[in-house]
Amino acid sequence: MIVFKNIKKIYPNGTVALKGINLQIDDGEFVFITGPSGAGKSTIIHLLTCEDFATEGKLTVSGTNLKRLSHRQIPKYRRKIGVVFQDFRLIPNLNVYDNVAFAMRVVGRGGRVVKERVNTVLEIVGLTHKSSVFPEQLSGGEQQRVALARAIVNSPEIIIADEPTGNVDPEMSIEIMKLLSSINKNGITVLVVTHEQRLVKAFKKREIRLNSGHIEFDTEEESHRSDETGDSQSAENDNQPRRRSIRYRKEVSEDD
Amino acid sequence: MIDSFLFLVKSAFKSIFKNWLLTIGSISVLTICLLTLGSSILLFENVNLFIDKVGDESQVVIFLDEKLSVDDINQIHQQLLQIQNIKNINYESKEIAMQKYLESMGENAELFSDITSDVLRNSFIFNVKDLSKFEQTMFEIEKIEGIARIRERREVIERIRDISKIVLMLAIAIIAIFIIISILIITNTVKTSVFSRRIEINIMKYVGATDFFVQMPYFIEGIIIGILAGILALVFTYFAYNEIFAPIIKDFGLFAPLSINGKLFSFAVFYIIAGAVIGIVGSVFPVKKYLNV
Repeated sequence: MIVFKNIKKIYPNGTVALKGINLQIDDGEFVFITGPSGAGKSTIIHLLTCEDFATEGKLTVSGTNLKRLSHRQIPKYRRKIGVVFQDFRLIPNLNVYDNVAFAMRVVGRGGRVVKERVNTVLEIVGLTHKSSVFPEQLSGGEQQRVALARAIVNSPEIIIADEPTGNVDPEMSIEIMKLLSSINKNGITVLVVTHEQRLVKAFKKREIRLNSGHIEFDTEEESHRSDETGDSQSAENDNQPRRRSIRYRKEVSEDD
Repeated sequence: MIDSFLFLVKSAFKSIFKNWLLTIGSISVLTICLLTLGSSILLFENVNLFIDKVGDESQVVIFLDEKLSVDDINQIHQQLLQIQNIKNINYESKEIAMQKYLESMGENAELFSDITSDVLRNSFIFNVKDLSKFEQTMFEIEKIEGIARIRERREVIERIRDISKIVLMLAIAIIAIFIIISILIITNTVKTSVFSRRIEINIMKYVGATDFFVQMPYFIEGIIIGILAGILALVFTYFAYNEIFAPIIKDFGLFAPLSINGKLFSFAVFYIIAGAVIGIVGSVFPVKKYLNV
């Protein structure tokens, strides 16, 4: 479970990126984080990956208060997270297999375990037949699938995808989202940062929309409200058959 | 564990071959640095050897008062024997001294036939063991009563020692400069290597690799450069010393130069460790920048 409790982030140059964010993402949820540029989406990713820390507030992931992690504990924490980037970040001189295996090798795993696991994830993303191909020989969609395979190869609890469809064609975007969705069905929490409202609408998942450092709306909250008022149609449209936990969104008064 | 280690070593070798031109540059400069280091050590050791030889040949002569009795002379002999830093003590009577002097004149000895040994003095001749304690030893000797004059080659010894100090200081300065240059060049080599692999480092950090794991290939790269430079420096030192330096000293006939053959192992260990340490120091800084992800 990811819990943001009154999270504020002010950068050293005075930019206020997050103005008291409160939200909860349950284990196994699929969440879209949307919003215009400068809304605070990247900051949320940076905080979750411990690239940066909140100025105020408490951010916990699976019960771990990220601010209390020592520099030495961060690598271990990051092994719970798989990150997918818009620009894929594949290593050009490694083939598909080695790009995926790389993520396992750098955390000290080797031998047959790597071979078996890499083959499994390549099968999941449908690239077994391209395991010996180099990234430059792949289409954008295929490269993103390799990146996805690399993100899940260490069996993370959470996948964070930062604009995963930003560099792929529309059809392939749907494929990538379907893949993320199927990964999510295996119980992995998926956070997708995107600009593409088309995808958000098509997949009907929870959407947290940020604007100027605060939450503009959270569909989960809306659906929760709808549940309480008996609006069953809204609940039916939401094809996530899980979590109806108590959520809170208390915007700090000065942000309103 | 072994897989991880092999992965790191493989990464280091990949980087070395990828940036081969810079690697050769690093190895060359580090080799020159180590060569300077080794040459300075050899030069210093040889200067010390030369000083010892000069010391051995520089006999100290103490001339005794004319009025001393045989007992007094024996007493002075006993006092000299108690001074620990002197060796080869020999008594030379004025008669023997005269005889030696005439012998040294050769055919011209006849010119001095009228001169008696009374113009000379009885003396003790000896060598100083440790020249670094020369002044202290002389101070002890000067305290002995019955000595008229002391003849020693203190100035020569001090001059050689001064030269030796200057050589050492120069060597230290040159070595320091070369070490800094070597570190800078290795830093640049590793920096290039790190820059070309920044995506890998970024991914490594995102998937949870420790700083140690990220830094290891570059440490290994630094160590490999250091070891290769150490081996090259050893080969150059061996041939340059045995084929050029030692024969020159022999030709001048100054003294028998230090033999390097028995010291090869020590030199190998020294060069490789020094090379590896400089290599590691040079590889630490460039990686640090990319670890803050």
